[in-house]
Amino acid sequence: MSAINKEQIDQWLREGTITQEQANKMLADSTEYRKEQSSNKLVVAISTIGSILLGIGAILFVASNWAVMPNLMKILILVGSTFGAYWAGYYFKYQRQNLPKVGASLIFLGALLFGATVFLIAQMYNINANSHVLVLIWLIGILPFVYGFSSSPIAGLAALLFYIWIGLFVFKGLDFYRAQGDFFKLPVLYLVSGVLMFGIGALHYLSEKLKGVARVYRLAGIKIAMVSLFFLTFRFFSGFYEHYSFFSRSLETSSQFTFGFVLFSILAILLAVIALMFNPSKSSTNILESSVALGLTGAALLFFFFHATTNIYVLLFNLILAGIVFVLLFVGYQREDMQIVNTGMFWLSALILVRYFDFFWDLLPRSLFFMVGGLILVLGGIALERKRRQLKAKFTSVSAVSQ
Amino acid sequence: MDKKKIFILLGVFWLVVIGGFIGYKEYTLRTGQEVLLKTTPVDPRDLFRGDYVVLRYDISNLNSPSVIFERNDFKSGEKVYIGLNTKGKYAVATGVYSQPPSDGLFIKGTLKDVSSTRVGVEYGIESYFVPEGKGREIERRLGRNVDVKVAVDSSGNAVIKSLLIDGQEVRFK
Repeated sequence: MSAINKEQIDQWLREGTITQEQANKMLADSTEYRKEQSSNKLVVAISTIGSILLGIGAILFVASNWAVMPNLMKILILVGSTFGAYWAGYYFKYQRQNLPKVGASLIFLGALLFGATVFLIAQMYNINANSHVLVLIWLIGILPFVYGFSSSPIAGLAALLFYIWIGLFVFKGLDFYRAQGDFFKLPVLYLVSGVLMFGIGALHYLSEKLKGVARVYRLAGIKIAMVSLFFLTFRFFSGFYEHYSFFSRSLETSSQFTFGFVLFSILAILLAVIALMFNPSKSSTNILESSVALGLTGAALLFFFFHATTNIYVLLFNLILAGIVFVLLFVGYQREDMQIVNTGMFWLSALILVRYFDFFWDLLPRSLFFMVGGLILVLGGIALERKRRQLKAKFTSVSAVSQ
Repeated sequence: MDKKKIFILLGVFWLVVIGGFIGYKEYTLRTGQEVLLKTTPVDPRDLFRGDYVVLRYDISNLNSPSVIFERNDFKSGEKVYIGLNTKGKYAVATGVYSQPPSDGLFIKGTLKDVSSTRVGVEYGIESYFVPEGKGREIERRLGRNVDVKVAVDSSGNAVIKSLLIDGQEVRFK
């Protein structure tokens, strides 16, 4: 449901669809609804920030490694606060049902405290500080909550932990200077993991009650894929180095990295094909979305397995990023989804900015470089903001009519 | 399924995960054979990082032929089992195997730096957590003899029991 705007009510009144009395009632209800929505958003924002702060506080408390307490007491404190937050969240959201937003935030706090408990136990038993297993246990521990309570914030946390786990897993047991190949190929691994996450999100649309979770996964997939693509537009990550030598090591990737990359690529392709055939999200732009997912995985595989002796991949990834930006803007426009439009606009600005630096840093005198750059930023910013507002107003009025 | 059942089931699930994690480590601590590992000198700049001490052992770097290599095509990231001889004061490595040795004590590790005659091994016991600010204290005493007492269970899992400086267990107050 969404609020009906005044222009629409006036139009219905002029057309004789509704009476003046009905128009007044609709206007009053609509204003009330807007106030309620605004208040809800504030409650969600405040309680979520509160939960995050409490979670961070608990994690820092663990990290400070207070020595005077016996281990049992430390565990009891953290397990107690984890279950306390979880119980209070359940009580407010489901049992009493009087503070559902605060309850959801407390369940989310429980998920954060669960991670703090895992890290405290690891600290007590002196488990290696950067062990990927700890993040994996945290992820496995909170994943059932995503489905049990259809929780979007916990889904976001799970997506974040998944990406952190990938990074730690790739470098497990490897020193940086012995894992340079893996480091340089990290963006391409994250690119396919983003595509995979997007596909996992699409599958979640099969369940009506998991639609919120599906969207979180899809947005998380888009965000990590865009960040990865952005890194790949730089020569540092996707360029050709004729005489690369750093501690006399080659740029070969480790077997665990290659295995992970191939596995993620296969799964990403599989899910993109499933999405293409069955369209679980019932998206009007499904063919385009699935084709882009397949194309991105294909480009990642090409880059991973076929080394170029030129900088062709730099050009390719720049073109791909530009293409994806336009796909995002198109899909966002088609689906009237402001978040996707904003993502597209953000990456469009980032791409223009860095390529401006790349191309004109050496060509223009410094003063001119900064003046032109500043002018582009100011004018571009105004143009983008104007367009964004136009789209937002358009989407709002269309959604009001369609309700 | 109603929310109450989900609430209880997920609570039990958390207890199982936390309990299982503690139980797994306690099993090694309680049933494992106690061995003393000699720590190798570490660059002091690397030793103290945050609130934990980075440890390196004599058995962290193994050279052939003083230690038997079951194969010569080991790869980084591979899980291995290191045979241990515990007859002396310190446990010393005897061989690197891809399967658990049929007799004697062994410790499980992951290869991290491999050449045909040398392997680096990580055992998951390379961090020793200290109270905030106490790492510097340990760092000052570094020139002295630092050992680590470890429990190794029958599957080769290891857990640190204590850190010893000049044979004395380090205790923080």
